[in-house]
Amino acid sequence: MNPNVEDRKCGTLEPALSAFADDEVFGPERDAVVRHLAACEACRRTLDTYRRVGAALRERVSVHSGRDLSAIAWPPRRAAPALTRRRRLLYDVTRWFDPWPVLAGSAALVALVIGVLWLASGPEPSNRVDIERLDAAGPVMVIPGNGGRMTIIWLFDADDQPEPAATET
Amino acid sequence: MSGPDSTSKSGGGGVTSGGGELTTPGDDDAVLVAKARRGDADAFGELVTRHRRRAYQVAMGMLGHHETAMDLTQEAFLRAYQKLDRFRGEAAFFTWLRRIVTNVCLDHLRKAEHRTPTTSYDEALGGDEDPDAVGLAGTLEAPDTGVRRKELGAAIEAAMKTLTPEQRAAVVLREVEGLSYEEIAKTLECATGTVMSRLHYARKRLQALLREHHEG
Repeated sequence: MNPNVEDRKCGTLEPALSAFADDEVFGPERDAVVRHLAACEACRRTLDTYRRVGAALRERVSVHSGRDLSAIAWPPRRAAPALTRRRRLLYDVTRWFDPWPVLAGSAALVALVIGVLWLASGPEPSNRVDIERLDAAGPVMVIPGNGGRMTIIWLFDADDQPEPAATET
Repeated sequence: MSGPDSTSKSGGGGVTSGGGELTTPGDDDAVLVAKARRGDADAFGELVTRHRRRAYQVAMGMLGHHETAMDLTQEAFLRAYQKLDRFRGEAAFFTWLRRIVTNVCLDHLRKAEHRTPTTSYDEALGGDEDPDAVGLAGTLEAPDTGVRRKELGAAIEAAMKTLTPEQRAAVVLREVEGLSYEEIAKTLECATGTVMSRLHYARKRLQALLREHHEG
């Protein structure tokens, strides 16, 4: 830190002032803070505030620690929060609306719906017709299709058509 | 502050450990740790009784809520028991325990902060279960009467809840535990410059909140 701290404005002195309140400023820097304080009433008031806040906090904590603490014991008389957290999450309905359980639940629900839809749809129906045997006597028209599929239209000869039944006169 | 707790079950004499040894309140912490490592639950019980008040003070300072501070102090002792093999005895037992208490409280505060990102000063002041917390924040420049100090204490407790978990830890370790910046840095695993900065900003914020509330 700048040892010429007394030349600085009060605002830039504040970090050193906080450390000074904790007896964590040493040597020339400490002397400089002392000189600045001697000349600056505002900084003296700030320093006093820091010390009074610390004293009040200590007193406050001390008052609380006068309570009965026998519940903190070994072996533990009640389950530690870490051990019961999962159970609390399951049984405490209000905690279901915490962000993480809601996000996890939503993700699980979306995954479930996608899975059900996928299973329900089954394999994609195929339009392909496998022709194992083609012994056409007549002309055949082949129309190439997408994905290697072909459409075959068999053109029957007139001879192949069944003759109309003879009618008796 | 670190003396034996008045509620100690072994306050009047020794208790017999599982291995037939006698655990007495006069045993050194290191002796008790060694016995606890060998499975002597009474020895660890004596450590809990001996240090629970001070551990609670750290938790209470950071959390500002009695029940939560009790729960987390108990959890810290549970973690200490589970990690007892890792305690190498280079520092005092309480120094090691304080680190665990601080970390348990920091974890709790970070999770709480994640759920409810910010606590306003008025929310913290109004939402406190403690009747002392109701009313004005107390004057920072007023004479130190008992009532003023009580009001100021309640206001500071509420204002502490508006700080970040790391700032709260630094303030408590400094003001309540009286640790040096170097010791705080070791406890929080950060640089001493970071400690200085956290304390500076925390104090500025506390001062501003209390003054603003008083003047408002």
